[in-house]
Amino acid sequence: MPASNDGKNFLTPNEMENAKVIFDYLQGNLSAAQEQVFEQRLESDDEFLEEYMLIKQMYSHLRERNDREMYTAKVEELGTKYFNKKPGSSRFTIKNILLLVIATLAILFIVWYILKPQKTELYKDHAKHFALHLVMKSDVNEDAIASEESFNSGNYKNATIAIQKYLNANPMDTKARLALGICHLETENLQEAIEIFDEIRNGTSTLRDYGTWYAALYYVKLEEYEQANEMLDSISENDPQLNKKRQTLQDDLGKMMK
Amino acid sequence: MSLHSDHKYIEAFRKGDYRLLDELYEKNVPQVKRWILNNSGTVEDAKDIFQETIISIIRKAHDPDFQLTYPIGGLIFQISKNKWMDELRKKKTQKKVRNALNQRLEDREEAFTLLLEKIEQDELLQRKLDSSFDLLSDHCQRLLKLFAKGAKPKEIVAILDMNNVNTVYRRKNACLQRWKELFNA
Repeated sequence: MPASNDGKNFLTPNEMENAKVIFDYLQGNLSAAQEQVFEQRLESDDEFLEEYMLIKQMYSHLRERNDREMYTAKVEELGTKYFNKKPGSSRFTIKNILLLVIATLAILFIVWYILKPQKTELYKDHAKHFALHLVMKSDVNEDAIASEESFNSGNYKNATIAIQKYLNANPMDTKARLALGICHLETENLQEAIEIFDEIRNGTSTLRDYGTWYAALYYVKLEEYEQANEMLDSISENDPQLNKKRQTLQDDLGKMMK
Repeated sequence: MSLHSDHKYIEAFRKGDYRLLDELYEKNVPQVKRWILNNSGTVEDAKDIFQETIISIIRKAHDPDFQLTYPIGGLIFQISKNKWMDELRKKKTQKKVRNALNQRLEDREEAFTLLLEKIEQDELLQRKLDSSFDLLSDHCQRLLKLFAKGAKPKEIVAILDMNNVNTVYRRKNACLQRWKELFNA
């Protein structure tokens, strides 16, 4: 092996050739025929494959390093935009604090007095869940039966356990997963609920819009109406029934936010 | 598994296009922030964790073999959670870690878990590549970065004031070899 001090000494011809050809391959500088020979060698020569893997990582790393200044600047900029308060937003003079306290108390009283009874009803009015059907014809899946019975009778605590068992055997069943999210929502396990709804609405399932609908209901439950409204805006026009529900909820939210 | 439509982010980052980052922040900051605040963190903690997560995804995107088969939002959330739990562990707040762990989804797909592990391993590898690269001479660093940018040897001769194309190739190979030695040391 050559003693290469920071690249000042030469390598053996074989090592030089390997490094050069691997780099050329990664940069797309080989002809189709050369590429074929190269790939055959990767399959048959373990030592060469090992060297290739390392040089590939080094090459990717170099490309990333070339971009680093650019993306770290962007990440810094966005971090400030999305996490920090706007400069000058906290001018705490005694007068401002007093005014803020008085205004807050007044608003809280008005909001409590006028809206409290309606708020508690808003979620209930709109959280009309679908009937869960997991049992197929001639199916004797006990977990599916228990899930349906508990969910459709509104016993969400028992339904949570039954659906989780069902999902262990059927992890890809998005409808059951959505139902599990609803159970969490109804039993106040809100973090678990929103994780499931986000997963569904960000996925490719046909139930995406229902994931979004329930994420909106999650925000209604938290009384974060603006976010609920934004969420509802992102529901597609595909399902007329869901769109009707969406419209009704947005009308109610509009009244609430006035 | 087939590529997820969110692979567009990976493709863009791989090409050095970071305009879609804003969209990723807008969609994913609220969820990560909320979770970290609910688990004994501050807004500043959430910011640090989120930034680290985004950087690890950008770095992973430069691996030409990486293909995204899951929603990127789920990946960001899970990496952020794991990073925050590591932080809690470092602070030895066992109870908080337990609470945070209880909130993890129990039935994640195995492939998804493997992907997370791979991203964490790659972060260690990247750190090692970084520290060994920093030990190379400035000349070697510039030469290798120029090659990775796709500069032609003739251009490199001019930029780095070298003798000829043959010298450029020899130095490139020798610099790569030196980097390998430092990496393996």
